[in-house]
This record gives sequence, structure tokens and C-alpha cells, in this order.
Amino acid sequence: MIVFQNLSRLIIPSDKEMIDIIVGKVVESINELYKVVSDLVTGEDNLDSISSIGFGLSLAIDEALKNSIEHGNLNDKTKLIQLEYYIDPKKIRIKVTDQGKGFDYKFIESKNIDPESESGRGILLIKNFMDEVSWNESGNEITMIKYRKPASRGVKR
Amino acid sequence: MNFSVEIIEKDNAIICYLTGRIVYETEAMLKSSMEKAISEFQHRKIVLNMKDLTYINSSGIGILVKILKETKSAGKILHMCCLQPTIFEVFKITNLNQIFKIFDSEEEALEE
Repeated sequence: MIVFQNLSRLIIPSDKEMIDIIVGKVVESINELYKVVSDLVTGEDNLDSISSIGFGLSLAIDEALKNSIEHGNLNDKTKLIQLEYYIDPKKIRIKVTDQGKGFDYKFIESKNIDPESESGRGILLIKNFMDEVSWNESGNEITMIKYRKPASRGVKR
Repeated sequence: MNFSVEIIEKDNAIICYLTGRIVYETEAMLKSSMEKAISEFQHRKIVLNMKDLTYINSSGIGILVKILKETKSAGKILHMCCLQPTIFEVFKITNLNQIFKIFDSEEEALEE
């Protein structure tokens, strides 16, 4: 049996202009790693392909980074964000940590979003596209997990 | 940058074709193009054709909501059409299908 685990860690400045390029590269990197996984471990790739979850994954990382920059590090470019992504054949785990005081995720989770509001939809999107979302006690670190499920062959979700 | 807005006049409406990705770097461009479309054209109806829009996040959605409000306060109507499935999913999750009129085809958006 072959075990495959990969943990990568990036430290980035709190600059919104970097989000798009970082998200693109991280998803590309996860995609590359999964090619190795499917060759070595799962054999014939019978799990969700990254292309089918790539949009939601990109969006979740995008929203998490944006929250950390805006609400955690308050757009202070001297403060840093740590982005960690871990993959094994069954799941992708993303952790984003900022240097802020932490935010009240319990309040955010209970809040209903007015469709006419111009902000406040980030967490909602993350929760819809990822399978598990949690925060550390102080609220400055979000952990998001996406499980790879057996590919649905020709069946529309 | 990987985003563009092309505006054409058709019948009694203007159609704005949004192409590419709405991300932090392209938000300003979306805002200014749409403000221009609202103020410079006399047409009462504005259709956003999103067939080639491949990405949007919560900030981009915030801008679309703002554009909808500006359209209304200018006494105009805003319709959307041809959303890709992933974009439509984002709209559904955030309940935007309640405030935006979304059509499958450009023809339907123009007719309604």
C-alpha cells in the first residue's frame, strides 16, 4: 500500500492584489498533486476530478484570504497571512491564518444575509462549496475541508 | 487583464457582454463600465449577458447588487442572461435569484 500525504505552506503579505495569482497557483498545485495520487494510489481515477471541484475550491480560498486580509489584518500590508494546504487521496484541507485579533464567527454564522446587501456573502459561499468549515478559538484561523467523493458517472448532481 | 465588458445596442435595450473573471483587479473596470452604461445610454433596459463570465466572488456579487440599485434609481431595469452553471450556483447560494431577473437566453431577457 502506498501512503500519500502532502503539506505545503505559504506565507504571504496582506495584499489583495496577490489573491488571484495565489489562488490560481495553489489550485494548480493541488491538481498536479492529484495527478500523482491517481497514478500511485487510487489507480484508475474513480474520484471527483479537481476540475469538477476547482471552481468551489478557488472560491473558498479566495474568500478566506480576502476575509483574513480585510477583517483580520485590516489591510495592513506589513502583516502576514499563512496559507496551508494538505492533501491525501481522500481530502483537501486548507488552513488560512492571519495576525488579527480574530473575528466573531459565531455572530457571522447566525446572521441572515439580506439579498440586497453589498457584502457579507463570503462565509456563506465557503460553507456551500466546502464540506467542513471551522475556526480556532480566537477566530483568526479558518480550516476548510473538501472530501473527494466517488465520481458520479454521467449522473447530474 | 482577464476581463472585459462589451456594450452593444439592440432593439430598445443595451446588452453588456461580461467576459472573463471578476476578481479584485477587475472590479474597478466592471464598476466604471456599468456606471457608464447606465448614465450614457438612454435605453431603459440593460441586459447583462454572462455567457462568457467564468468567475465571480462575493465582492463581485456586491458590485452587481450595487449596479442593480443604481439601475433602479435611474429608473431603468436590469436583466441577466446566459449564466454558466457554476455562476448560477453562486447566485442561488447567495439568494441573488430573488432580486435579479435571470433568463436562459438573450432573446427572453430582451422580450420580457
